[in-house]
Amino acid sequence: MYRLLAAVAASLILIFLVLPLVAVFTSLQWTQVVVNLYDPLVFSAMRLSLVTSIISVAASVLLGTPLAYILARGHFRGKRLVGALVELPMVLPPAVAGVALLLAFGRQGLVGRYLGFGLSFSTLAVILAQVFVAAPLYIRAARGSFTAVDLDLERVSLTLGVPPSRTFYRVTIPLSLPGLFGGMIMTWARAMGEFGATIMFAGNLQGVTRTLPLAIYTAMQSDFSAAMVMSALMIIVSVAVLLLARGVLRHPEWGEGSVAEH
Amino acid sequence: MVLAASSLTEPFEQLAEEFERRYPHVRVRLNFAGTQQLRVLLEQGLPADVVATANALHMRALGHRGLVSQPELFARNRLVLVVLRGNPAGIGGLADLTRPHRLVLAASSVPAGGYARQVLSNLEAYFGQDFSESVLKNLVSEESNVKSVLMKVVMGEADAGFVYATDVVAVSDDSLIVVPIPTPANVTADYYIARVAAEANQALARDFIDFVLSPEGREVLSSYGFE
Repeated sequence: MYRLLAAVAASLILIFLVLPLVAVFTSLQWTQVVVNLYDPLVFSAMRLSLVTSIISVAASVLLGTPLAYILARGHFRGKRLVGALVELPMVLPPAVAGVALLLAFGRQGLVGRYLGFGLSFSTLAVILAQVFVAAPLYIRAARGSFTAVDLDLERVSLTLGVPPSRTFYRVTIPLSLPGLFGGMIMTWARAMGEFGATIMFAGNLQGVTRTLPLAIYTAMQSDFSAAMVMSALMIIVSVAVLLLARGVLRHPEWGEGSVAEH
Repeated sequence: MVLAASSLTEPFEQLAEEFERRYPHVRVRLNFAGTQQLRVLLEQGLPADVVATANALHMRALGHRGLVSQPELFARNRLVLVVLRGNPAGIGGLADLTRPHRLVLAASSVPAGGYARQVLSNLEAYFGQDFSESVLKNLVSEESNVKSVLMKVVMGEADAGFVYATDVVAVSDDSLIVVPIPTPANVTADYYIARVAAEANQALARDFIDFVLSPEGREVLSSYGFE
């Protein structure tokens, strides 16, 4: 009896999760797809999304890796507070992130006021919004992977006379790689999907700030078929990202990393 | 359930309140969005009783699909330019709009956005042939409804934007300068209200529309600047 109930519940939620995605593809007419992919609206949104999300991931990795390492290995007062603050944007509603970014970097904002100009309405604003919501995912994953690296291995390297910086690059980084990669992929996916903070902080202009999610939203109001094609595109990208992430984490040499399940 | 254009927010909230006072057993649920969004919602089968749009075009399109019955003209509106007081670009009036600044408009599919572009090309009679084109070079964002155009200027993010005259009646903010548009160049926004054809509360929907069209309803609308 309980097994039956569990099976029913499990199938219900499974159908609920998959059905809307299937609906996007069953409603598509494939002739529309070809027409819309050459539509400058779709094309420029796709390009903008790719460029900004890749820059956002790069920024998250460059600036986030040191912080993740400090959080994993450092001992200092307020470490728990810093750790919590870094993860805060992950749980914030995107609209709150948008308001917060405006109040900080808008023309009348905390920082914008002193800059003398606002960052809003620019491609840079799109990247800032993406880094704000997505970098915490990378930092969290990187911190987890650094923590999981066996300290003894680092100690061996150090006692063999390898300098700390070299030890970091030759021991710590390679051992954390699957987790770092996993974090990058999740960060990239989150950056690609960023909508709320972008439309509030960066605005909505084709080729400048109109990323794929904003283009879908805009197309919903006039050209529904374009919205469907772009949604289908994003679903395909998401599936590819998911498969890539799984593939990377299952890599035989890297094994099933303990951070892989983050 | 009443679907109404964003620009109708304030008067419709008051109208709903007064309607509920007359029909104590009725709860009016209001849903405001850009008219083009309302149209998509209805086309996708959202159940609603009454819809009020900010132009005739979208209402006609709904009518052609048999989604609404008997649209009626119930209000008129005009456009104004709102300018951020003391804006860094030094924009003070319509003629300044060709100078570099941050201009925000509603998207072309939004009625207010369509009207704004119409006004810009009408203004070429005053400011010369390429006025519209050089103004639109300063466009930094296309908003999804007229209220967010106003918000971008009120918050000081944008220097100027085109909104309805009625939108600025609703906010009394001295950070804004309201610049009227010469009548010959201005457009008239026609507001239509109609019953949604598929709904169940036909009689109640009729009552609500009658109330909006009644002298009391018109008084509420005109107190918010509608003609």
